[in-house]
Amino acid sequence: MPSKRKKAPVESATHKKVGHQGQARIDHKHHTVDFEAAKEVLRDVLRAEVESETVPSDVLSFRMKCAR
Amino acid sequence: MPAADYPAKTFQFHRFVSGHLADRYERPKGELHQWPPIQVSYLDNYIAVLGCKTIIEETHYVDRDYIADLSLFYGKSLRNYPNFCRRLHFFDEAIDIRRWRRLVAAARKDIDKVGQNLSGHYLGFSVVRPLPGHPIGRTVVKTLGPKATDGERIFAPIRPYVVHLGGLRLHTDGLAFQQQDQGVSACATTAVWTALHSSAHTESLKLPAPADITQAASRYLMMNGRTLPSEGLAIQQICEAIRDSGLAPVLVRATRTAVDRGVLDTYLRSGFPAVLAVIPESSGPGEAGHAICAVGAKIGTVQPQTNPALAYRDGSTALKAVYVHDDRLGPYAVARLGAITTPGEQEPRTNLVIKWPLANFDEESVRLHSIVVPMPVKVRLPVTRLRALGHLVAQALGTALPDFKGALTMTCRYLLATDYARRIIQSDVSAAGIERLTSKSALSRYIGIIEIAGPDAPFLDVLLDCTEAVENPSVVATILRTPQSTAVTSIVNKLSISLGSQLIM
Repeated sequence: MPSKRKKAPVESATHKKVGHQGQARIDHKHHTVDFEAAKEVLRDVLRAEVESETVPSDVLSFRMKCAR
Repeated sequence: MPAADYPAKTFQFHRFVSGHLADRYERPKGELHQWPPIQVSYLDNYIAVLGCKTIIEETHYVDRDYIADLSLFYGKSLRNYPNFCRRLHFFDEAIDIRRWRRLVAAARKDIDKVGQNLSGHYLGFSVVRPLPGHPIGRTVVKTLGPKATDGERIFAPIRPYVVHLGGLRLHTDGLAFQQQDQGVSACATTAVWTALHSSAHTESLKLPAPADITQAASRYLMMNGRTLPSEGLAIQQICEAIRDSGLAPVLVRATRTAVDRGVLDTYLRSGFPAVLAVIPESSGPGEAGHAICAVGAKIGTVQPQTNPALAYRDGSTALKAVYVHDDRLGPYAVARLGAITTPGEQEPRTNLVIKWPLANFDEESVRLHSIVVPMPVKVRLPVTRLRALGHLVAQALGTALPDFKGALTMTCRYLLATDYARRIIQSDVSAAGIERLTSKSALSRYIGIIEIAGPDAPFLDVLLDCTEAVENPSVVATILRTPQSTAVTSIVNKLSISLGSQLIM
């Protein structure tokens, strides 16, 4: 008599990748959206983005007059 | 002295021969640096590429911008400057006086149809100012279209122009260009003027003439001494001129290439032209810079992520070049984006290599100094903060969904909420989701959008309220663009909750 196969958990279906835009695999290790971890990894990127908002006074006085 | 009489006007029909556009301009007396001016040669070359066959010349045309310059400056000169211009209209089909008369005869039966048909052959116009050496006034010509040999051209800031010629109404899409005259306007004035031709028009604001811009810029700040003749503008004066027009000047300092590229990509995709302050590599220390106006983007392929710790790609890496109105050159000139290392600075800086498309001119390398964008006043959310949140969302999603790791692409843009609603109605979002977004959600006039795309299709849009100054909590909705499994939807829902928004799918 064949042994009873254990029923696969419902979540396992999501491990299958069906096409590029279909169901994506879930990272069960994290299984969450971790913004704190993302902030840590992106520290330099985020700092660079916001850095350009700071405008020193010499930038404001930069003059443009170019003829050719 | 005879009393002033009313002027006559004629239409003259010229067969366009490439290399001979300068015949339509009057060569001034005296020794000039160059004749024809580079701008005339550039325009000659450009309309030849568009396939121009005929030029119809209006011999008497009153141009609003020139009249304003005349009344402020040239009307007080010893020389008797005329108060009118000529205007050249470019067509890609052969039109002579007989053909024109047949068109007018046909218009007596159906004027709209004739105008529409002729608009299909209309390439644009160029005003010829009676200013010695600086003849090119307001010029609106078509773009080269979306297909380039090495990518796609996007000209989101261009707008429709209606042109009246002999009673017929013609239409063309483009963005106004003109040559600096060095009396009323320098390069910065014309760059701002071009930018406002798009942004002020979108916001239904009055379009200032170059004379208005120079005066507004110098009203409170006379950084270069006298206002006229124009000694150029400083960044602060550009900001003042933009503020005076009813828009908000957003100033972004050029810092590093990845950031500058992201800023340009976002604004140009959103339809906002950007005034670029640049430093020609050939200029010496302390010399004045130059201003150009970015009006389009050349988009190539999104580059792979080079940082192994990051789980997404930045869509702005596909920005290869910007199309600029450079008043020393002409409309829609290509400026390749690159990076250049400068002494004393750790990070490479953004440089632009402006292609001079005539064989006898060189390419010119300029370094990006800063970016000024005229924005609607209620768009308060800075581009850098929109992009900062975009990075976070893409990284968090890419980590939580390993199958998408490295395949998610993040792009940002501003969009009118009404345009986004039209877009989403035609998407894969469910009928209930569409109703929830379009009929049950209040959105700001402009929204900031973080677009997360999968390899083949849109995946997620994060919509931000642009009337807020900070990105969090300003997320009004998270839109799941493509149906996903329950588990993936659960992750996206968690993301949406973390952002304090509603999930629509």
